[in-house]
Amino acid sequence: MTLANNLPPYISKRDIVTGNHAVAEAAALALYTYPSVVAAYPITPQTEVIEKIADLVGEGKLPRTEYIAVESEHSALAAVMGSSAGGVRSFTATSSHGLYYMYELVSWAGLGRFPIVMPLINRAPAPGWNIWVEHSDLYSIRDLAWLSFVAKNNQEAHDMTLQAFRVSEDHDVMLPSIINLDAFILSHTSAPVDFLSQSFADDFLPEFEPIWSLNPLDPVSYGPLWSPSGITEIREDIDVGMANAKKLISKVISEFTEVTGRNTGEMVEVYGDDHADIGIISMGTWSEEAELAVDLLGEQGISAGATRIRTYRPFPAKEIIDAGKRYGRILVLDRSSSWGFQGQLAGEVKASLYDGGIDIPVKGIVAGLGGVDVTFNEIADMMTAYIKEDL
Amino acid sequence: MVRLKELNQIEKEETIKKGNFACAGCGLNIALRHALAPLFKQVSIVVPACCTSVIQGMGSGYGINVPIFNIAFAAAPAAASGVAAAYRARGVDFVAAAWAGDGGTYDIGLASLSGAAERDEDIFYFCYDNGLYSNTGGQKSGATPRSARTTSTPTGRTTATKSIARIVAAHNVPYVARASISYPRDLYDKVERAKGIKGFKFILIDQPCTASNVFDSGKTIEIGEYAVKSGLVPLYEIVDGVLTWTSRTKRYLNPEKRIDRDGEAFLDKYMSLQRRFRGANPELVELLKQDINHEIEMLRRLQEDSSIQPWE
Amino acid sequence: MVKLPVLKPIDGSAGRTADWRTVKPKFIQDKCTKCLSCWLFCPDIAISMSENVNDGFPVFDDDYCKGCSICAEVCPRDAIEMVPDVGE
Repeated sequence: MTLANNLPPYISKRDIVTGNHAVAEAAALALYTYPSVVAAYPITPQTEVIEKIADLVGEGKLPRTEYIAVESEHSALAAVMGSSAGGVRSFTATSSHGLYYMYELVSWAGLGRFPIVMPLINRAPAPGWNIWVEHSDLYSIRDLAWLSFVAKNNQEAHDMTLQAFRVSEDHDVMLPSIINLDAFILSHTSAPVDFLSQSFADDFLPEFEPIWSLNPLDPVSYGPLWSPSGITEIREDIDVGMANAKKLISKVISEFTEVTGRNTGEMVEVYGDDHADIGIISMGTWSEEAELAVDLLGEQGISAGATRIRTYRPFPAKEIIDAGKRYGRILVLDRSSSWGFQGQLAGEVKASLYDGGIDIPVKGIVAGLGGVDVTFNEIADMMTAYIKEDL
Repeated sequence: MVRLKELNQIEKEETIKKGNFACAGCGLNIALRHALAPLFKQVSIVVPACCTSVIQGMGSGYGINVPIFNIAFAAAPAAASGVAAAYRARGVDFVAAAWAGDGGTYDIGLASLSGAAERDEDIFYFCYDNGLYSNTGGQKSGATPRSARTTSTPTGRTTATKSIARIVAAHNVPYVARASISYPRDLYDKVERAKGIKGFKFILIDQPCTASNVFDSGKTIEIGEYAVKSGLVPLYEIVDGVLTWTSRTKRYLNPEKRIDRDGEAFLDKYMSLQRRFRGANPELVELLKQDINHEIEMLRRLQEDSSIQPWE
Repeated sequence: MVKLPVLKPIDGSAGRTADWRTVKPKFIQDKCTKCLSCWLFCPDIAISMSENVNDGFPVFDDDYCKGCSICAEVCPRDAIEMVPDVGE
């Protein structure tokens, strides 16, 4: 259903869709114009993404896209690595157990610099079976050289997908991307989305140009035995790519904003009082709840702010240090834990602040596991309690 | 069959390079030479963990003359499917192939192989089969013959070998063949014929391993020949589900003909040259003989006329 | 430029592999019928045969022959003998 006519040229339609469809439609924009390959395997709550793409391919609306319905996630990622090695833009999607099943190749794709884009619908791992949101899968991929973006709502999930292709495929970056969506809260909840137009996408995202490919007329071997010192060089270069990605994200977002007027932050999105007694740091859909909590505290005369991590890898260390300069104390929300230590994000925020020489109180809270709903009221209560030192 | 003089002309430019890391007397290089020759300058191969990942070498260049995508153990057929899809999307006339050992095919890669076969991917799948995990020092694989000693079956394998060719054939793919490095012209011909077939093409290549099965490096070809003449490695093609025996080896399908001029059984000759069969349990060897006949009998059922004996 | 584990094909990716061997082929031209068997089965393409080179007789590569003895084993005329190679 189109809700409005006379849309600007960068918008093709305005519709109410799930987060999954918002992602799939953005991927379709990236896949449409040039040769491309999608390989995927179903898993709740990701399945809608690949079903939507399969529909578009089946209806002839993605004439240059080859779709492979593989027999496992391990094969899904292997197939798109193969197609990337064959020289074309490549896309897959997964969630939780799907990610764990493909894990061996997740490291191959990241450390091996395959610029694949892969939505990851964040879901709790079993046992017992649970299909609702948790960020444990998001963190499990953390150290395997993938760019990691975290969406807060349907519109951002749409925009972020197209932006991810642009960053991943850049020759100074060449790293795969995951786009994280909270299971059900975002993946299956419908909300209005302004769909980007194909003409905008084509201007924004050039054709994928591989830096190597499998060419029988000019043979190379990709990934044979490699020496210890050679491996060290390759690893060090990943951090160069990550640093380049950080610079590029800034450029890409400003180009994007120039046309669309939309800007939800580069590395982070900052909300609330510029200098606040308490700041909350989080990522995903509950960051919008955190913003409401900041408003609620403001009404009670408490100065509060929120910093949402939008780009998780490369990590926004500088932006976290900046947050540490603005806030009197920091509460970090984690929808996961590094069992035996603490919430992953809390640990990383503390490490960044230490690096920046910032000595303020920081507390991490692990909540919302297995899909437990966490509302703005509860977040406001946590923040209030922390200010009163009884959390 | 391709004439040797022709083959010598065709293979003027080789699919491997001199001085790679293969062991002296390694049959894998022979398989690469003649299996990939019909596809030279058209094919890219996806190689999972196996000896082919190692023999490329380490340093300033690699020792095989076709493009290689090295990937994880269980992933080659899926990755080759992706390569083929990319070539299709780009509209280029290149061929994608998986090139895997028996461990990567019979065992850890079986689900991925089954997926690619069931999708009837237009790719080649080559399995070079030395009957064990050689790259890791010689453990039992699904392809290890019964009674053979490996480092994980130190007293000899007790169960029957998996029939990977029949498993793949059960996916109703257009082409399945078994070949041997001891019969290179036949290997070449099979690939050349399969080239013209659209869909999934599976070629199982017997390749005796000097290092792990422990025999004199000069004996590679002789042992491969005995494997065929003992019936252990019958040679055939299954095209669209119908099996045709390779004529040169047909007589050895008859249990009575598996002896040399002096009356010595080819199976004994095959086993006596390899340390893995030294001191083999006689009961297991008897069962191995039954395995050979059973496999040929099962394959007979895929003949156009299954009522006749394979050697008729 | 991104650093990747990518190589081009070369001869001698394992170095001068003739250094591995303890025996080397000795060719006895009188017995050779140019049947191509040794060329066909050499795992290391260390034997080349071409009508316009060496009168069509095999040419052995002294840098890359690993001394496996397959050529001597498959020769139907015993025109190849393996002899000790103690190196230089």
